Amino acid sequence: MIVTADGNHVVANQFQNEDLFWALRGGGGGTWGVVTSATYKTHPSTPLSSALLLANSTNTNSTQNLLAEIIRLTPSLVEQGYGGYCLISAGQIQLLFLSPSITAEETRAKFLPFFEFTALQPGLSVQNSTAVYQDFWTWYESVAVPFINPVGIPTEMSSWLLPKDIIQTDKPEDLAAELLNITSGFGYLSVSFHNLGNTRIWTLSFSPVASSLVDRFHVWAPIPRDLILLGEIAWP
Amino acid sequence: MPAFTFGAGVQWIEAYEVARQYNRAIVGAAGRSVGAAGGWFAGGGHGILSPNYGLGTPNSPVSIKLHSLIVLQAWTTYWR
Repeated sequence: MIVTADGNHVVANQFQNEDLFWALRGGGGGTWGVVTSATYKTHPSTPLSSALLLANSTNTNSTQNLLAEIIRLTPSLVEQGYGGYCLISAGQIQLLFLSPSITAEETRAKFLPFFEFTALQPGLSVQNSTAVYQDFWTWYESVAVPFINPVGIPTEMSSWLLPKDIIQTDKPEDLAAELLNITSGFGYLSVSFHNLGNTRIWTLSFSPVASSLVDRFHVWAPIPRDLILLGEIAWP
Repeated sequence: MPAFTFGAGVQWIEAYEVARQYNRAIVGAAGRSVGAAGGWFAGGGHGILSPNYGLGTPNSPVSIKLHSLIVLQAWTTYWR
């Protein structure tokens, strides 16, 4: 429900105030009124398999190689349902990926070559692990809650969405080198627009940038591109 | 398909606690103090489960046929 500028408290959904509902679904912030409640669908609770890596680096070239490998891996990780957060600077890489649709054995097999690659890089001190959590809350409480400041972080964020084919066609090494010019460090997140369930893309109002990256004229086909979101931390 | 309705002011950490009680998973933000109703989904709604279940926006209710919508709990904690 939403309070609109004319003071009315109205329901916005696919049957009532459809235009307002469309605008709210990706159109951003408080532009359209004050949202007083929102309803979300839920999913079955499943075990989650996870991979973690923490690398301290004294060798910039090794940091770049490690980041390039992460970039190279990202499209296949997204396809396997891994969400993740990477916090990266020249001296440190923290990486966390989590998937509800992959077994622990598959996660170990997926990340073993990557872990072996990092072990070969000079000047890196690496810890890595894989783990299984019985449900989302178990992961959130034990991993996310201790890690994330309860009242946010004093940073101003900017971000870019990169289509998957940029990652696949450009050299990951070049992108890694460019990103490491962000001397304050940055976050690297995997995002996917391909999984919309039974939602049609025209019912969403993502930013023009995001919308331009999906093909609005082939809406019945799977959305063809996954995207990777990059956030720069401008005020460390 | 069960759905949850969250009032303005509910933070994601509170939403996750409710979802756990009903043995359901829900796509939400990593930051515990991010509001579950409002700007998060209006901006697209990224979560760590999004590559598997989609962004927050397609998880809001147009995806659900109304005859199968069960609101398990209307749960509102205005700014405490």
